[in-house]
This record gives sequence, C-alpha cells and structure tokens, in this order.
Amino acid sequence: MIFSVMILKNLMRRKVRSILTIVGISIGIGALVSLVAITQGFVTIFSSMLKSRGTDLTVMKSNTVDILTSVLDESLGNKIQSIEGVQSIAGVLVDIVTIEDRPATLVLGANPGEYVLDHFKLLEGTAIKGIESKEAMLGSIAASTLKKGVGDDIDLETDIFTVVGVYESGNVWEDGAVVVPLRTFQSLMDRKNQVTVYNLKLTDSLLVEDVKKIILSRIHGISVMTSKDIAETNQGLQMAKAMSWGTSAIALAVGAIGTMNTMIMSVFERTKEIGILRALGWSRRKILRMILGEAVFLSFIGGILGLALGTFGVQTLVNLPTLKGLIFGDLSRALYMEAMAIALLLGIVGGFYPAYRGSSVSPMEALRYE
Amino acid sequence: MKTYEEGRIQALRGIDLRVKKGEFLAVMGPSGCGKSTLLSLIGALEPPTSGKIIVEGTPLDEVKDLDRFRSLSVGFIFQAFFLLPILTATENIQITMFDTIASPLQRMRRAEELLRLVGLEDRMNQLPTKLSGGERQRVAIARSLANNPRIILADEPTGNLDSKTSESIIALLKRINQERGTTLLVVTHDANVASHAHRIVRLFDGKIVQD
Repeated sequence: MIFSVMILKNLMRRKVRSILTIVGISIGIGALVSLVAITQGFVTIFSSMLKSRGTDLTVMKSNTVDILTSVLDESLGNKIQSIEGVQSIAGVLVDIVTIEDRPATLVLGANPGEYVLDHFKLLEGTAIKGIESKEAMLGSIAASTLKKGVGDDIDLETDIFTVVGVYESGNVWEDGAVVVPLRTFQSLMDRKNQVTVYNLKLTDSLLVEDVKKIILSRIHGISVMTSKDIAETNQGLQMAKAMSWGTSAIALAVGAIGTMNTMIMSVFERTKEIGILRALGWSRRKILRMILGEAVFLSFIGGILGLALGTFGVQTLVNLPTLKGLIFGDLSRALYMEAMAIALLLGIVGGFYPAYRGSSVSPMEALRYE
Repeated sequence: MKTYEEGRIQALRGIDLRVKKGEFLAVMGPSGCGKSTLLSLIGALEPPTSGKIIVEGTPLDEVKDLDRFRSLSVGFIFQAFFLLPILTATENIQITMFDTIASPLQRMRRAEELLRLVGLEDRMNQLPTKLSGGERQRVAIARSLANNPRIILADEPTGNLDSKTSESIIALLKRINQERGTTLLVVTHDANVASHAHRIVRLFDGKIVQD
C-alpha cells in the first residue's frame, strides 16, 4: 500500500462530506474561471479588433469611464488628419441599440469605403454604399442571431433598414454588430456631427508615440491611445476585472472555509486513530502530511471540476442568444493554470490548521480520547 | 516517577525495574495501579516526571527522535486492538513500515509473511469488521512485529477475548518471545496469562509490591 492510498481511503470514509467539500471548491473555481475569462475576453477582443482594423491609435474623449460614453465633435477629424504622420482617419459612432426583439446589439456607424471596414470579409451581398442610405451590413453572428440575410429588413430603433451584406471579421464584437452609414446613424440617434472615436492609421506604426504627443499638444480634452493602452486602462474594464476577482474571492473563501471545516471534523473524529499512528511510530510530520494531503486532494479534484464547470459556464454564456456577439470567453492556458494553483492553495490554507492541530496532540492524550 | 495534573495524581512512585533482554515479564495489579502508565513510559509514549527509562543502555531522554525509536524498537499491542477500520489486515500492518521499507511491494510481502506467522494467511484482505476478536488481536500482534522490534508491550492483550482465544494469543506471544528473543512485557489481570511469563511484577498504588 502506498501513502496516497491511505489518504484516499480516509476521504472515502465520509463520502458525502468529501463530495460536498469538492463541490464547494469547484463552484469557487468555476466562478473564478468564468468571470476572469469573460473580463479578459473584453480585453482580448478589443485589442484584436483594433489590430485587425490596422488602427495604430484611437482618439476618444478624455476621462470617460467606458469607450461608449466618449463623444467627439466631427470637427476634430480635420484637425487630426492634418497632423504629420497620420495617413488615414475614420470616425465611428458606436452604440448599443435594440434591433428587432434583441435588446442589446452593437451598432457601428461608419462612412462607406473607410479603412476601418476594409478587413470585413463579405460572405454575402455587398458593402454599404450610400452615405445617408438606410442600408445595413450584418456581422455573421448578428445575422445568425437575428435570423436575417441579404434583402431582409431590420427594425433598428424606430427605423427600417435593408440588409445589403453579411460579413465576417474574426472578431466576436464586430461579427455580432450591425454596420450602418455614419450620417444615417447620427440622425437616428439624434447625435448630429458626433462620433464616439477616431481610428487613426499612421504612415509608420513606429511613429505611434511621436504622433500621440503631437496630437495631445495641439488638441485638448481627448485621450490618444494604442489598442494595448485602451484595453489596459479602460476604467470600465478595470472595474469589471476588480468585480470579477472580488466575486471570485468570496466564492473561494467559502470553498476554503468549507475545506477547513471538513478537515477539522475529520481530525476530531480520528483523534484516537492519530494516537494509534503515533504509538506505531508515525511522526508529527507524517500525520501533518496525511491530513494536509487529504485537504489538497479534495481541492485538486475540486479544481479540476471547477475548470470544467467554468468552461461550461463560459461556453453557455457566450452562446446565449441575448449575449452572443457581445461577450467572449478568453479561456487561456494561463487562466487554467492560475485557477488550479489557487485551488491547491485553498487546500493548503484550508487544511493547514486542522493538520497542525491533529499532529500536535500527544499520543497518550489521543489514545485516552473517548 | 510519573504524576499528572501538576502532581495531584501520582501514577507511579519509586519504580526501579530492570528487565532482561528476551525476558517475558507479566505486570499485574488492580485497576489504576499504574500498569498501563508503566508501559507508556517504557514505550516512550510519554516522558516520566522524574527518573530515567533506559533501553539497551540508551536513556530515552537522550533519544532525539522518539517516534523513530517507537517505530523501530517497540511493538504495541492494545486491549482494544486499535486496528484502523478502513484498512485491510495487510494494510494495517503496512502502515507501520512506510518509513522503514521504501518499496510498496516489499511492504506487502512482509505484511503477508507476518500474517502467515500468526495463522491468518486466508484473512489477509479482510477489513477488521470482518474479523473475530482473536483474529483482530493476531493482526495487531503481526503489526507489532513489522519492524522487528526489540520490545513488545502488550496492554491487556486478552482483555476482550474469551478464554480459549486468550490461550491461543498468549501461546503466540510466548512463541514469538522464545523464537525471536523479543523482550515481552504484558500487562494483565489474568493470572493464567501471567503464569506463562518468566517473571511477575505486581504493582499497587503506583509502587512495586512484589517482584
């Protein structure tokens, strides 16, 4: 028999208790994986979206909590265009609106032919052409969710648009979005001469920092950021990250307390047995290793189940009709490894005190215990 | 001397006891006279309040690792058997050998050899709940022999057994003492058990009253 078999047998004594402890840990780890994957997903898709557009810098209103709350006047566009190093500039109005009975759909208002639409691969139909037309292009995910195709009409807020094309960009936000002409969208949303952001393509991507400095020195009240900056400094994203870790921490704390409770009960019930083992020559350290080993084993199994639960949770969320195209789960190997490390740490933290207590009882005291 | 509760309880007083190597010693006396306490001191389960315990020339208070001393030098047999209920007969023996025999296969073979020695070759994979009282005590005896101890300390080994089974257990212990030369100290109320010993020591109120 090997030592680990003894650990397993001890856990099997109280199967229900062990299972419940594992479930508690798996829920904590599952919550961590889901929440962090979703928030990290925002960062990932945002960065990849800007990268795939060929955007080197993004200009938005300064001190905005979230990119969607940025409002820029279109007159800024000419000023920015005239700055040396700026090759192309594209103003985009972004908002989340109700389309048909889908309550939250991302809509991008862009001028037809601008570079930000170049990377959209047309799957059906054509791109929008008319600057003030009621044409719309649907991302592949939006088309699937809305069950609309080329030639269909869609009810966008209070207006009817005709679908002229369906595209795919490889980015889940863009593929879940609807693209309409900028002027039409500004009129529909009563936001004349406004854009949310300006996307800038530079003559040389290496000039990013120089061009950024020039723009900021000439125009005030704006932020100029690379895609990495946006993803990392966006206050909304930071808040979402903090909330996800905070919520996960609560779930994990509950898992750790559950583990500690299980182990304390187990040690209490086995006081006499611990005395027997000491009498047989087991050292305090060996007793400690056994009890800690039990806690870590529970947390290991809980961690594995938690990874599965979290993965299932993310896949379920991103495929919900109301959320499809709006969220992306970044289930990276690093996240899985982090989550497993946290699970094992939970086991160590939850098991250490009971293990210490169990190993500290004197053999005679333990043997006399009734 | 051994006292408890800051001297209020004097379990053993003025004990001067010498046991020869390979001797079978019976320790008798009424309940509460300190018999079990004497065994626990010799087995390094607890230290004396004053005085010394010397095993083969080595004072126990000079031994750095008493757990290892117990593992290698002492075999315990208890009245209540004290087998772990979740482990089979062989596994109950193997747990004493985790630190002394590295190979799981060798541990298993040693455990099986000891169970054959005590006549339980066909009960090897049974849990304690499936064994009779006598069989459980045989497993406990086999467990006590796992690391070839120099001393076996048996605290009322036949206390929970019927007379016939008690006879067979004492016969087994006597055989081990004779064949292996293991020093055997048996605490007992049973005069019949004590009659098998080389020597009988009687305790009363923590003192030796007859040797």
